[in-house]
Amino acid sequence: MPRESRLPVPIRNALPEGRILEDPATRLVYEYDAWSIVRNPPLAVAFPESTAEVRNLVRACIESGVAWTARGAGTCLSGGATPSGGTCLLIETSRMDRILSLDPEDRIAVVQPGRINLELSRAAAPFGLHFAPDPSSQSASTLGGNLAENAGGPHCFKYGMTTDHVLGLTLVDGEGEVCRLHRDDGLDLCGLVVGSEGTFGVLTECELRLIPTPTAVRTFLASFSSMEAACRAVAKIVSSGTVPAALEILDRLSIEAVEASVFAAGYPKGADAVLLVELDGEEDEVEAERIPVLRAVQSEAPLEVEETSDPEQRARLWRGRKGAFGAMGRLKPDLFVLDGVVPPSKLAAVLAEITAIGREQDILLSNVFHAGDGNLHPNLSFDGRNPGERERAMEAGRRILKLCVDAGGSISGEHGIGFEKIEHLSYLFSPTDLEILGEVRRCFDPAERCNPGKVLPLGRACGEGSSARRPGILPSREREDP
Amino acid sequence: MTSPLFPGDPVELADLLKEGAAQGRKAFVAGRDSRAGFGADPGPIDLRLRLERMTGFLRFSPEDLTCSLGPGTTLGEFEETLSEEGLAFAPGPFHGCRERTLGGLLAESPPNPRGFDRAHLRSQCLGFEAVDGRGRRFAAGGRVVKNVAGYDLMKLFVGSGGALMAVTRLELRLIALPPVILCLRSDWLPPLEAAGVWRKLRRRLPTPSWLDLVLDGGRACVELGLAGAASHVTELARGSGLRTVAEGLEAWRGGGGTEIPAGGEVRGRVRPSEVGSFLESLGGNARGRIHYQGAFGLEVGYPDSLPPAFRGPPSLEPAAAKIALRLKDRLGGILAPGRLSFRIPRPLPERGRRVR
Ligand SMILES: Cc1cc2nc3c(=O)[nH]c(=O)nc-3n(C[C@H](O)[C@H](O)[C@H](O)COP(=O)(O)OP(=O)(O)OC[C@H]3O[C@@H](n4cnc5c(N)ncnc54)[C@H](O)[C@@H]3O)c2cc1C
Repeated sequence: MPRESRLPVPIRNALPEGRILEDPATRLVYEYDAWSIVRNPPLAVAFPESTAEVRNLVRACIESGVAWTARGAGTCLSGGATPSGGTCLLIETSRMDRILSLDPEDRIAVVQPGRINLELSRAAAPFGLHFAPDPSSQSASTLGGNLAENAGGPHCFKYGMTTDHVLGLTLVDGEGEVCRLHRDDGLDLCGLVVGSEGTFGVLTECELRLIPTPTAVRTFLASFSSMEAACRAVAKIVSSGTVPAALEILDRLSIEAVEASVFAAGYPKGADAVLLVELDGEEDEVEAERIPVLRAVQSEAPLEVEETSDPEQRARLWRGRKGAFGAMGRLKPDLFVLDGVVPPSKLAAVLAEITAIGREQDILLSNVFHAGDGNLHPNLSFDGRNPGERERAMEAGRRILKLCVDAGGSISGEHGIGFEKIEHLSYLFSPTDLEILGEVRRCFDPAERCNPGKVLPLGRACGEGSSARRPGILPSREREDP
Repeated sequence: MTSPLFPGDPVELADLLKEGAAQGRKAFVAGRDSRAGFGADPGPIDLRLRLERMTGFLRFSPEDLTCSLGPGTTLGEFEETLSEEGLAFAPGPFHGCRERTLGGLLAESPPNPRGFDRAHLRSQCLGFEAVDGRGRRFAAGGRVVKNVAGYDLMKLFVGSGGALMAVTRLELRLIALPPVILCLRSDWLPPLEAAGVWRKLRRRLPTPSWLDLVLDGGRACVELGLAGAASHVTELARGSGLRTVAEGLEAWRGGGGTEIPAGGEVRGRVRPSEVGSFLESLGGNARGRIHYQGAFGLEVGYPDSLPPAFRGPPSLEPAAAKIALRLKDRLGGILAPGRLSFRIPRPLPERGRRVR
């Protein structure tokens, strides 16, 4: 600890020496997450190893009047893991990465939150099990971060979001108390905590459901000369009753970026859209399901269809999808990944409008998305050094999210609200809705010191200032009050 | 008992609750009140409200596998409409519940054969509009199947037993009705033997639609639901060693199984690996079902024989109880003052009374 420490004494004493860093280089490293728009160097970065140490830290923060933000791998795309301000302690969970138990018969694992998602599945693999939620960041992101964000991923179309795989958790709440919550408690406080983006407390243990790893997997790549045809094929697959493990689409610009990059997957370059479909299960199940899938795809006159169950070929087909965000780096130095959701039946129409918005704002716009559940990821590529470009990208983002809500959807399917989307909450929620969300939050964290400024605007009157709307899920013009 | 009022829309309901709160009354909101007397004691009530006039589909999007419903819509009405469209509700079957309202069903969240993992009742509610215990109208979630905007208040509603809010509009997730559905059963066996069959099938079948260990006092059987493509389902059925008792929609709705319903009053979860010792502790005095992941709903003859963890209300640790009570105070207001959730059981049957 440097002698001229700025840290309040209770915080300094909360962990053994050397596990709180406050040097400028460390603070710089942790000043933002994968959403780079807002940057706040933390007061210091703490590396606890146990629930008791997190509790000590949180209590020390309370005593010192300091706010805190928990951080896993920092891959959050909405600023959730960015320190809430310059006087905020960052609680980093990389040293809390143990698997505390793994019970193959009951298919339950208890893990610390700093464990990386893919590493849990690797540990469960010898038992024929895996952890189903698979955000594309799964080789880096932590289970604590996944729970806090209620992360999704390509395979959540079939298997559900992270919340569907959580049985219990331990949380150090905003008052420094250790709460053990279980799905069977009656009131599902555990389910409420999942997706709360670190604003209810710091997760210190997670009890997770593992599922049997499918013995057969088949992946299809179909390319189309129009995005509409790809979207129609998705609708036909879904309505056939088949539940593919994944249904992903990339548009023309994404295909070109991928194919020009190290993630090249052999996607047909002239196509307007490629559709990746994955079926998994037992061999005869997959065999039976491929028929309706192929029928749906063929009915939309695809340019090409590739089908494989060979692990290497499958990995190749997925490489382009998983590397798509990385490949965007070729287009422009800055990337703003959006996360809107629309009803799947409106995909094609909304995508056409999104393209028009990109054109109007003169922003390079590509789409890579989870088509089965209507979760769009419009990618806005820009160069922040060029005057006005960042602002135009932000404006395009704002208009796209509004468009999603107007189509009956949402402003976030999996990346969370964080700092990024707070100003867009009023598209979805009335002042009373926000007031109630704020009250719920304060049941866990009365003083709002736990990751403040994320998910909801700061302060008790959070509903004030948002557009005057009647309460309801629907935009007010659509709600029919009796 | 005060006679119930039947608000016809959310505004009326909100006005009644606002007025009730101003007068310091204690309110209880139900669907058709078909569960009166079940669940945790709501405490003394002088304002009874029933939502059975708020009924029907408010929006139906088969192509998006979603719909909006009035909370007073009955399960029977709901399932009928869905099957006409080749759609289904993922959880169930809810034995003998066709007259129950969807609002009530979600608020109770009873254990049910298909209700695990993604098919749990709590994962079907995508959003809602509601009135809290102070008469404030609010909404949460949305209408799309994937949405993380705002806190997941849907989880708070499902299972809350009407203690926190009265929902006036439900947004639900639907699934396509699987092309082939089979319900299969074993013979009646001694409970431990049936448990052995259940555990073996549990290991063998990665994704059954349901797999229940059905207890009937001193005997038990295994009931298996399979759904999916014809060739696959037939193959699994052949390898299961059980006999087919129902097919198609009949099987999906619980027909052909035993008469023993899911959702008994003693509820909890047992680890599948510990089901043998759990059965031994019950000593042949339970009737009900243990589902695929170990959730159970039982009628128990000698409750004192239950392992301590399953006796009495589920115990919340102090820090969790603090949070639950705050939620009750801030959101629940005058609603069901004695209740935090449906699941806290009422006093169990008297010692020694046999169920059958
Ligand atoms: C290339 C790329 C691809 C991605 N793909 C997907 C995808 O497919 N699906 C998807 O859902 N997301 C995706 N993401 C977003 C991100 O990876 C997920 O949100 C992930 O769950 C974040 O995990 P993390 O460990 O990085 O958490 P962080 O970024 O460190 O934190 C995320 C949030 O969780 C909170 N938090 C972290 N740990 C704790 C804890 N122990 N207790 C309480 N709160 C905590 C933080 O305060 C913050 O609010 C992607 C991101 C990238 C960069």
